[in-house]
Amino acid sequence: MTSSLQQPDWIKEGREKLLHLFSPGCGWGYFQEGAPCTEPTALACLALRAAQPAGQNDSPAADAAAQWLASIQQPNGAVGVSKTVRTPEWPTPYAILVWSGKGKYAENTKNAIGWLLTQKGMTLEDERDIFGHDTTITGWPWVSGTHSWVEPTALAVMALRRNGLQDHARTQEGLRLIQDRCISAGGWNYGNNTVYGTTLRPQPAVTGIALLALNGIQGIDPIVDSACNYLESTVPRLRAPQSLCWALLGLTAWERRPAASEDWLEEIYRLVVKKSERAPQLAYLLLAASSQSLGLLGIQSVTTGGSA
Amino acid sequence: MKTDHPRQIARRKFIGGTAGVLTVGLAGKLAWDYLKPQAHADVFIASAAAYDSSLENIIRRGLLGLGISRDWVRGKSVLLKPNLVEPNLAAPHINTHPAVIRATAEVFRSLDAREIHVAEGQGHCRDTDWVLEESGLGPVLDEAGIPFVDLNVDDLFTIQNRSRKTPLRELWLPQTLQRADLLVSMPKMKTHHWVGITLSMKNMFGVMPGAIYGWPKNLLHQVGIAESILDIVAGIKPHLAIVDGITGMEGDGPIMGTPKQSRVLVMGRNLPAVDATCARLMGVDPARISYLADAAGVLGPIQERFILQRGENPAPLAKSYKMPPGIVLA
Repeated sequence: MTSSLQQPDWIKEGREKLLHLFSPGCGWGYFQEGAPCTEPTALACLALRAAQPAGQNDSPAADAAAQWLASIQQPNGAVGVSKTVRTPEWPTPYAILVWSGKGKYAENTKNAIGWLLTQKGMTLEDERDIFGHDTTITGWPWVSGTHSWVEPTALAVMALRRNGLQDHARTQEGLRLIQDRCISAGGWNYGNNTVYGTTLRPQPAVTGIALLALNGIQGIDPIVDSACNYLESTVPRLRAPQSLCWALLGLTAWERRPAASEDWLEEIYRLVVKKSERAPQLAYLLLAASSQSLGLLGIQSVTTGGSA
Repeated sequence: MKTDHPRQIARRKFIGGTAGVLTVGLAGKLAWDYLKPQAHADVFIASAAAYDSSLENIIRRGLLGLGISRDWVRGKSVLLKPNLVEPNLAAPHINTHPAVIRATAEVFRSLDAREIHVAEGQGHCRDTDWVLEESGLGPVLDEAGIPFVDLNVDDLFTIQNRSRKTPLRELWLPQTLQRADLLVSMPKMKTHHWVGITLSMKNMFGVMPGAIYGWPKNLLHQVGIAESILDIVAGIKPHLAIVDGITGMEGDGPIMGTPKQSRVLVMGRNLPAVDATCARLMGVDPARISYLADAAGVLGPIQERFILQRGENPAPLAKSYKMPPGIVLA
């Protein structure tokens, strides 16, 4: 991964482009001219920090974006999809990751975590003949009052672990859910491993996010190995920044980052900016390239994160 | 006391009576105009041997057969909504084939559409760039210069859910729908392990933004898939359906089923009629598909006698699709 001391030109350029897309006083949208939304704003904020040249403070844009996220936080602690779309609140873990470690947002973080801990995916009884997973495990849903899925659970787990709650019962149950949803051939998809006995297919982005959330957990080598094998076979042909980012970060978290990663990232960056400039795509590539990213996502250290 | 002159009375009665007749007549005409699409519909069935067939000609012929002319299309913004629910290079029969999407776009271009977009809010995968890569659609759209819109994260608006088959009071929709004059549902002909078959009506799940409904769109599953289909179609009123049944999917659809060669494209302006016709082409009685049965006479006809089949004779083209395991039809 690229340290902030020796940044290639494309990272500096990507950072500038991301700053150029910033809507002053707000954040970033999913696409140019799109309304600022929580997820792209948080991703961009984390990416700017990850790609921050050594010795510099947060860029004013990253700081303003963190402030904007605080301004749209609801009294119950949740952060919705955007300022005007207050529910669902699945992006809340992203806001927590942005605020974590920043003293001025301690209260925002505390309130958001408080809300997150109240959220429980709906469990289902007696569905084993349909679904391959244990539908009674509580994780996190995309939308309050619905079933739990892998990505919102993994993001919640990362946000909680980033704030020292690795031993919390909800974190532990979230980790159990992620392990339970893995696909037998390796990796994860949105969260159904089998339906009516048929094994479903994995997807690279969710697999990477799940591997990040599981980082440091002991005794899950078969799950991790098969997921990493799946990603290693998939990433050389990936051109999509989101999938590539999470796949590379997941592999990095388990010390299996492919040697050619930096070349792929630069190549894909060139392709992306040639086509269009969208904040999330730029942010994903910067996050995937930077050595600071794991720390910002709550990954303490590679393979030695301890038992959560 | 003021009294009416007999002649005036007669005149007033005449005018009133005439107005009444005209009102009844106009109301009847309006009611018929409103109800006709629900009661009767044309559906065009076209044979298409393979994806390298001259699909543009086939689709153009189909649209003409449905009375869709240059005048109907000229100057309009067209939104093509394929099914890209979950991409896999090794299983292209999951998604609407890129060749069908491109051919449709080219036909609308040739009919002087003002602009054409392809849009999807796929249900199983958040990474739209990966979906476009893995489905093979991305390079095709790039080559043809057709923009793609990610409906999962589009800016939003709401409409009242007037049909209220589900308890949802409002439907959140992507703003791109507001810009479209013509919304074209372009599904794959597939079986579906929750609702039996998925065609142009179920394909409209894909306009519902994941940012609001999740991945998968679990909120809609929870309030009832069949009921949600009815609310969505009633709310957004798509203008046209073009079903990719060249290679369909049977068995464990909509993702894990096996390819089934039906070698047809099915087109029509009324979605229940199109889907009912496709159901028959799949060897399924549409009245046994709950959302089609509930749509009948409300959103459109599903009975054969109310559907005018244009193009090919459906009977020789019908294939028996294996149903998914676990599905119990009505």
